[in-house]
Amino acid sequence: MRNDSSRNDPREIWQDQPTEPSIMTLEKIRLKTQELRAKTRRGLLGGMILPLAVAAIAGWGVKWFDSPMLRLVFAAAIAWSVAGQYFANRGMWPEPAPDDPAVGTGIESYRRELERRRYLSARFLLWYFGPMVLAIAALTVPALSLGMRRGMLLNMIPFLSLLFIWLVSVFVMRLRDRRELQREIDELDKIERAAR
Amino acid sequence: MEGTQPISTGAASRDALYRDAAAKYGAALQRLASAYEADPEKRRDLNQDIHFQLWRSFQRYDARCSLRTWVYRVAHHVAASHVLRERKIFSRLVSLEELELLPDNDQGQLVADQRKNLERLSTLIQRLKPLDRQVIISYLEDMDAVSIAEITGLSPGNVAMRIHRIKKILARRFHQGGGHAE
Repeated sequence: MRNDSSRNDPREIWQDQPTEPSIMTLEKIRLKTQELRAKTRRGLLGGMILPLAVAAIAGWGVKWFDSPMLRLVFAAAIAWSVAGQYFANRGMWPEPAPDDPAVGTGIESYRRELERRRYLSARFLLWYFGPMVLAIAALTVPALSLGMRRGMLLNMIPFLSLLFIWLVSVFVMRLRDRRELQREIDELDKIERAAR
Repeated sequence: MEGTQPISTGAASRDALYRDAAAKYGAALQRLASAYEADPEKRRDLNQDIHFQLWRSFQRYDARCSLRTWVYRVAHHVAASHVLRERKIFSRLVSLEELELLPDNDQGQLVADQRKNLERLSTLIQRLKPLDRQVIISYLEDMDAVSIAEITGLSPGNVAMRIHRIKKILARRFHQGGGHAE
């Protein structure tokens, strides 16, 4: 029976917590390796859905609209999307590269992870979100002019407003994430400077 | 490990190292996972991830640091990545300095129930930013400032300062002098 003092000793409280017997065997780990490879491959393929959709819609736009300006914008969206796939995924094929376990100190690996997240966030905005916004904008312009001609502009406002709010929210949330990641990296810089 | 080329160990050696590490630190790794994830299901997944990445990491283990340091470095890295992946917003996490200033409703209460005490302690740890979490978990696992510095990459002086803060916070919240921690 513990006395009151040991019951309130945080180190004893921590170390005395119940734990389950180890559940990981080497066989399970090997299965997890295969799962991870399959998951990485699925992730890479899943990441291609949005750019492919953008390219397909923009391709349809090139075929459907006569305006050279609109065609140029749609073509730019296709090129941007395809280039994005190349830059975002180069080095990932044919063999998927799963996350590398860290072997540096806590502060080094934490910084690496923060920088990686910041990079992924920037990559999303540049190569995924950008072409999508361009394609949506290119579709919206003729839709608006059609709506004006047919006197349906008012009916379109709720949908367009929701679309606009969604696009702005995604952009703002990503920027906020990046700001928070940057703040955390700056804090690590400060800690490292103070430690020198 | 800075400036050194990792040595690729054989599969048998990697398996043996992993078995050794899992036997020695399996329980500590479970505790570590509980400090980073409150949800039991996600915690189990995190614990599995830690074990998996640990096994993978032994391919590059070159024995330049102790097995314990290596295990904790990898585990903390996986767990910190988990916190980032789960999009736990940083602004909701606090540093030790901020935690020191925050009021505690249970302050000074002697709680007889071990489980409740553990809940309070876990909640407190889960409010901390990843780097401070690494320090407090290592401290709770009875490591000294030098070992914690080796794991986190902070200077021993900086770790000592953080431990001092941790002791003050824990003493205040658990009505405990902290003499044991010296």
